[in-house]
Amino acid sequence: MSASAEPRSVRAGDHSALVGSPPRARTIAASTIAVGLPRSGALSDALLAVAAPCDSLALAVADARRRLEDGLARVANTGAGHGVPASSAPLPLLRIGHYQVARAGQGAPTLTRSGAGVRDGPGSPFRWTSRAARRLIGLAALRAGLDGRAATPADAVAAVMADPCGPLGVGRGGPGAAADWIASLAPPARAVVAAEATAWATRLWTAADWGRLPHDRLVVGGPDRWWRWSSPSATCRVAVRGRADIRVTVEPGRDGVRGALLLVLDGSPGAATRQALLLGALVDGLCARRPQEPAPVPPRVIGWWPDCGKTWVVLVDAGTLVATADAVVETARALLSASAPGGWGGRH
Amino acid sequence: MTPVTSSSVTSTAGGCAGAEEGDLLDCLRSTSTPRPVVDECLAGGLRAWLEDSACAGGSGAGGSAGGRRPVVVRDGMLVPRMRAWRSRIGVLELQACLTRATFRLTVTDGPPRHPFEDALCAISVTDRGPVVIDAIRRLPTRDRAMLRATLRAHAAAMAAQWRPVPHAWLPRVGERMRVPLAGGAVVITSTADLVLGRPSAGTASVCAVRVHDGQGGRAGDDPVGRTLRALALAETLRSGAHPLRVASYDPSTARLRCEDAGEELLVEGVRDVLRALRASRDPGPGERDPDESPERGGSCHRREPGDRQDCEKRARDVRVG
Repeated sequence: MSASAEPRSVRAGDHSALVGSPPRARTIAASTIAVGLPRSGALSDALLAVAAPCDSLALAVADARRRLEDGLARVANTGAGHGVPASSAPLPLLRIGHYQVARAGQGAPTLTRSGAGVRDGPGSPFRWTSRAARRLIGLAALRAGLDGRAATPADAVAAVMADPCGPLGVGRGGPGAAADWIASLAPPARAVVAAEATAWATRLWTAADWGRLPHDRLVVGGPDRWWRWSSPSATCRVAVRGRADIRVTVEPGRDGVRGALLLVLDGSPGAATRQALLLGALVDGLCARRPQEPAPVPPRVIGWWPDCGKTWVVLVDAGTLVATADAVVETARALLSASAPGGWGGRH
Repeated sequence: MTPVTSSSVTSTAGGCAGAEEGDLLDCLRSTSTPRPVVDECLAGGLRAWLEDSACAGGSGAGGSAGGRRPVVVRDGMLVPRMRAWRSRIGVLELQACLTRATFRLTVTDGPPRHPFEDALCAISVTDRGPVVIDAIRRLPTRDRAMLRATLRAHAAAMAAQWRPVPHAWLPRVGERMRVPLAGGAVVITSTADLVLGRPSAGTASVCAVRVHDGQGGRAGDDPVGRTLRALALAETLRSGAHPLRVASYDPSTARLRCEDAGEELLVEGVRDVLRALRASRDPGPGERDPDESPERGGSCHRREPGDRQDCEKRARDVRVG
């Protein structure tokens, strides 16, 4: 197993494989925040709040890692009957992110949309849409706005889309990359993509009091973090994705630990949302460079659903990390057990 | 509920006084009267009223927690079942879809030169793009020509009455609102085609516009009014502050109906939802509606003014807890 920037040749998982997976009862507490007007004050308070230092967090991460590795080994070995690849072929890769964990916990009957984009149905290829691209463009626009390079979200989005591969853009170009897709759009489609990204960026732009947040410890967007697992005896590899839209990096202080992850999510929270929220914190801990070093795990994760106006704060501790590790194993089990021979969604 | 402005571009009623062509945006953001201060307890009180009613009607509202499909109230009306829009998409729905796309292009990028083609191009990059384009491709030639002509007329009306929204007004198009109640057993949804203004910092500041597609009405019903109430209610519940104005624009008649989103409008919006919940429960003869029961005291807004404190206390509890 190893931590890396991003697994190669990853295809969105087969979401239909989560059919019928039973939700498991776990106890992770989530609290809402007391809100007044303006609401941006409450979210900023939550991002800046101090948490009591948890001395045993390094042990908790080690425990979660052990449970994860044992559980995945158990699950991947029992899935040996499902489409074992030829010896020369690369092992299929099972990609597990926030979306898969949340949907598996709900026992979702059908899954046609991944966290990264839209699939027109099980087995259909990923395609970029205005909705899939809005987060990417919106975060780049927010960075431009916070740097003072744009006065409004719409200006920032226009700057991002004018040069999607540039310093303010959405990343490198290449086949299938968002930058190339944006550059290829006709003007009306481009206007719609810009409008949807502007709406997304405006929500986040107005959600927090950015002047209060420490700019030196603030990461807007940033690459996803991946924790990868493989075993010689397993029939698949697993990559667990940790994602955060806003990251206030961890800083120990006299009165406690500061730091938080914020995720902006669609719709409204569901049954397994707490575990899904904590995935980012778990991956942060698992991605520590050296196991003996205390992992810089954020003390809290905040989920924000602008569609419904809900905000959840989940504290990170030994119990919640272990529960999240269990949820990842359950998600892997659900994906594997429902995959028919030859029906691997995560195959290369 | 007092419609402060209910006018076409040529009307001089209410806050739209003096509105001329191209000035519908100014009508929405008119500052002729001071912006009302937001009662922070109102949203909590409305939510508590709805939560009480949704929980009381347990038979109809299954809830996601119980593994049953939630009761969805869209724009103040009960959605009877999931629409099979992938397989069946009618001309009216296509027209609404294209009109919305044209409106969004108009207020963000300026009027499209070729409305039909540009709207299709815009839709092609959305989630529903392939389905809509496929449905249009399957249309009989006559229907397609009619759709094209209708859209051209709508686009011309929009071009005359709307202009791109200044970036400083923070325009957001296609804002989806989805407010779960009773642990997800009931879901209130609405969509605004255009939202303007910064989130409230104590005064009402947001304006929401919905393009009316001419659907969803019964004889004697007021679908536009119900949509406006639902829009105002959903925005209030999710943001904690009621919007300044909500408006419905009908490109076929070139009329903008704009209403101040006050307490009365919101209370009517709640009543729309309660009616939809009653419909979902399919009550037998003589069954008493718990929402209307005075001893339950579902809402402070229908009770005596002296009971307002109780409602505010409950709203405070909801916000904190």
